[in-house]
Amino acid sequence: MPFVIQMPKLGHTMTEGTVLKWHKHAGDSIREGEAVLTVETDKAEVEIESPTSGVLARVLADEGVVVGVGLPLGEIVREGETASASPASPAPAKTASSNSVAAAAPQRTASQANSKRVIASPRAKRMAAERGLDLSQVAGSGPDGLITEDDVRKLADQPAEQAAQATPAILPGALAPSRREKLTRIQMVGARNVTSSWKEIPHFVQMVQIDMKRALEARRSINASNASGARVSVTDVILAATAVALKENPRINASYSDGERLIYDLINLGIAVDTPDGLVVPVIHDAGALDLKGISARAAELAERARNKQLRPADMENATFTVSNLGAYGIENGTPVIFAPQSALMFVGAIHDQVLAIDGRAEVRPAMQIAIAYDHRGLDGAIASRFTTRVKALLEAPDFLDAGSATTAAAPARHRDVTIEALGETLKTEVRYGALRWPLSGDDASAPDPVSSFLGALGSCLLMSLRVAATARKIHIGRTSIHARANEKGHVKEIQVELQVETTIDDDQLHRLIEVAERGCHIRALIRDEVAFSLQVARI
Amino acid sequence: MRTITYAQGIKEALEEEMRRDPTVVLYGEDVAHFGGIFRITSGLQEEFGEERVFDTPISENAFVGAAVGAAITGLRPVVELQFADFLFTTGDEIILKAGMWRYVHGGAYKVPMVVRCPSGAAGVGPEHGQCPEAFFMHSPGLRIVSPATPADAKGLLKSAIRDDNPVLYFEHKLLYATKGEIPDDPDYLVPLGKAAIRQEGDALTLVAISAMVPKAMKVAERLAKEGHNIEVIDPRSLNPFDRPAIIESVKKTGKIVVAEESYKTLGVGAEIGAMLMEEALEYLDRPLRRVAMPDVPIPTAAALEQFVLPNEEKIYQACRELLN
Amino acid sequence: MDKKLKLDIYKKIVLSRRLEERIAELIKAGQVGGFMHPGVGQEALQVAAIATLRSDDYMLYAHRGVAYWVARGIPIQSVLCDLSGREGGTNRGKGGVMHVVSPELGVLGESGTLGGCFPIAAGAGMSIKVKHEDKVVLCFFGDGTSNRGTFHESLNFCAVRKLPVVFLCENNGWAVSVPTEQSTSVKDIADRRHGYGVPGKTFDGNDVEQVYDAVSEAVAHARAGNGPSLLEGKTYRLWGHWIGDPDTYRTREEVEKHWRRDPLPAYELKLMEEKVLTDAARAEIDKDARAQIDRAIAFMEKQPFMKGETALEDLYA
Repeated sequence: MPFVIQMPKLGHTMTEGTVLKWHKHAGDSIREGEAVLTVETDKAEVEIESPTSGVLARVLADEGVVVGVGLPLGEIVREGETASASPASPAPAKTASSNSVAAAAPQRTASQANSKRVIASPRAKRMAAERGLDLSQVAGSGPDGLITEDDVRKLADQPAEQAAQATPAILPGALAPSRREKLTRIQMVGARNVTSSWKEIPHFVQMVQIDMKRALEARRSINASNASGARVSVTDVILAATAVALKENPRINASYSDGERLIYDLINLGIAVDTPDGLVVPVIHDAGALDLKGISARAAELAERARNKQLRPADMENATFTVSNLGAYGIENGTPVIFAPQSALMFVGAIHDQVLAIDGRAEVRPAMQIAIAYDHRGLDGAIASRFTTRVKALLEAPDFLDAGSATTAAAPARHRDVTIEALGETLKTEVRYGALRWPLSGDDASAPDPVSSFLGALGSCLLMSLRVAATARKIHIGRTSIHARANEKGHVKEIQVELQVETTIDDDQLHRLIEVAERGCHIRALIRDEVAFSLQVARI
Repeated sequence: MRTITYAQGIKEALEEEMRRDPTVVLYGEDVAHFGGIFRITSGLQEEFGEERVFDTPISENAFVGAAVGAAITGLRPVVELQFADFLFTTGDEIILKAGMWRYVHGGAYKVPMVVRCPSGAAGVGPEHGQCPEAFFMHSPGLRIVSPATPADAKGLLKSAIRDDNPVLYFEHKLLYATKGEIPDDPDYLVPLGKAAIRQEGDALTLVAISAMVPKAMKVAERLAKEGHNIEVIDPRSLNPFDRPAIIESVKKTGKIVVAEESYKTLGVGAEIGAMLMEEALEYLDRPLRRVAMPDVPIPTAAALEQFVLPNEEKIYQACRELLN
Repeated sequence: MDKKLKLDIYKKIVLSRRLEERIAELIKAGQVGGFMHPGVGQEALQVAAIATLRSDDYMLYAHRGVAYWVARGIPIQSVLCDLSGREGGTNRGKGGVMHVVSPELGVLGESGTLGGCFPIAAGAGMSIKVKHEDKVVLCFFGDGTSNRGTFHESLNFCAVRKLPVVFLCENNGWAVSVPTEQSTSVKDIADRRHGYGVPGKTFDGNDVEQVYDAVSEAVAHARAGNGPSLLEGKTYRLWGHWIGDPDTYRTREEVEKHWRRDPLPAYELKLMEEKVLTDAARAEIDKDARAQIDRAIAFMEKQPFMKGETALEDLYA
């Protein structure tokens, strides 16, 4: 049996690809591992290597032809084999073969079959006809690649290029293009995606100006101290700050879907990279686990691959947040479009010297603006503000770089060991526990006040103690929760705790269990006798 | 408005029409003294007398054919078959006599009669559990109605009795006990040939017939929670058939599922599919999906019957398939 | 029976016979199409039975000839138009001569499937009873048809409900190609009345007076509210089952024997003996019948054929 080269599945959303170029022609011999052809997916161009040595016996899909995943592209005959008489698995319309094809002329038939047949629902065809749209380049999203109404609506929403094609100038003197540039497949898919993002996501944009003096100084010292010569770019510093801010604000690292916020642990940073063929957005996966150098190395590698058109589809998937730095082009600010299904995208402007008021004096500082677009369905202005200002704060006081440059993370967390730092001259502090940081605030509601934090610790400890006690006694309890309150102001004189528990045990047994839990709670034990402490129990 | 059961709706229609029109007579096996095996007609003989409400011998051919003879000579007979399946016993009388007497005699006679046909699988096996509407949709000259709610059960039966054509009135056994609101108007009529849009929506058209209607409403509820607002159409009347209602809906939605309790091959769904091919192909965005009985007789044992019967889950899955 | 009635019956038998002869010629010459089951030899039974009815009574005929319609007074040009598919017929091209109909004359029509008539007759009887009328229903059928289940169901149903229906069997000895003794468990169809507890009798169906008397008695019984009867007139189908039937299943001798019992010359002879009929009157009646038929055929030939699109009319009221 000859070896059949099939359209590979190069990404989990890929259903088909375009044959871009054959590097070998029918009759050419091929070594194992040699590139046979290049295919283009929605996201990248990929070279297909031969897993075997032999002769390329037949080409079953011409250049330019769209072929479904798993369908044959060509056949390689190994030594001692003969080519099959009929094409490998006669494929549905979009693919490269037809039963009646004589072996001598498969290519022509293949391309004819492919270029003419459009598999679209009748409704889609009617709508396309009404709007004068050409469906031949559309990848159907329906069953078996069926082009559906939705696909046509998306196509119709792509302005300019397709519409221009479809409605030739009729009126004398009407505006006629002097030249038409067909978008590449990647660009077309991009156009479709941006359109749906723009239509579906209610955007709001927050802009801040950032004093980059300390960040640039930090970068200089890191590069100066680095003998190996690998340079950290300003973008890298911004990416690292972004990763830290995302870790602290997980709701930004999320997708909105149908009434839910899907929050991700992994921070996958998309970075917009310019290439001769247009902008591509490779992804630094798990940027949260990388330090500045790690981010820098990875960003450099991806940029290099993008410029050489070697990006793999996997390099461009699953971004959770995107940074687009157009500073190099001198752009100062902009209103970016989010890439769905991400919740936010950060535009970074150029760094210029600006006169800033520092401690009451005018100073010239290198400054830049950032503009972050947010999805208003899942995020409100307050949530977004915390992230926006956090990015600014991190870049203006880039202490995280020191920790990052010294070790991969802050000191490892130790039980019952925290560091607390006051943030500037405010009533705000930050608690650090290993790499984890969380804020407390004495003057606004942007973070819990210390007593609330204590009440949190108390409630958590009580619930844990209850669970431990129940497990030890082999008693089943379901959901548990606590609502804890103290007097609103001043010294804590009174603490009221309401415990809700889901269980079927009787009241006596439950009260005994809670007594044990209360005794076992280390935080409870801290409360002085003169504080009025009450614990009420309710069943769920 | 009052709340009554589907069975009460049928009985009220019979009582009201018999009071209104002395030419309406009611007969069948066990309908008079016993009140019908589904107890729809109890008490009617007391009110209307032995000449207008009577029991017949087990002679479906004779008494269904007699309805034709009575109809062409001035009565409006309402015949109860104990089970819709017995329509097959009376094929000649229903199809060739009731359906065609007017036509073959050049319009000389009207044939105003109603045959009440209790339909639907209810653990009663292949010869007592069918929904055979589609067989008779194929045959000219008959009117066919399949009400799904108490209000329609009453309003359609009253219209059927007043109609000058033979009407096969399919009453689903499992709907008898269902309840619903009905207007107090003694002339509450539901016109033949007018579909009911049970729920408006634009994501998909779900056509449901008879006992499939309540199931379809549950599916619609479930899909609404998932963000899909579907349209549920109850044709109510299969002849005349409200083609525009379905076509207009499909123009809006592009997707259609038909749920019925008859056999899939050449069922109501098949006719709807063919109609859409002819009249609305360009509006279809997905293939038609039919949820119907596989082409086997209805088995008696519960496990087997449940396996072949269309149910909420099967309807839901068919809709999901098109909505994905 | 008075002289006028006898002459009337005679004239109608003659007109029927001559009409069927002409129809056979027209069909054989290809001038009309048609699906005609001739009743030659059975006219006396048909005409005499119908003569017992009141004008508001109902009747259901069997498909054997034209005499039922002639006897009831349906214009013969209408019958010819039904036969030829032209305008002016009784059923607008829908049923041909199998479904000649006349609501005004109580002719309810015919079931194309044999035995379909019995339940219809029962239903008409039911109507009469519910409306407290004193009409009757006369239902013709053949010996072969008495083997249909509907016969038995309807006889029982009518007996139980005492419906005013007279079931009249024209026993002509043959069900298409099968002789009665091979298909039917009883020699006399009227014997089946015992199974349903109804009155009835068997008589010579080619004898006008016997027919008239027996049917009159059954009609009176029904009209008085006493329920149905089952009658049987013995007769013979002198022609084939349809016009063009090769008739290979009967012996020439058998058919010739029955031609000698043809009711038309027999009744003629009887009326001549009774001085009800004279040679001159006989010739006049024959001439008049032929003239009526000529006029009817001339009328028919001038009538346009039914338009194809009328096929879509008359289905629903």
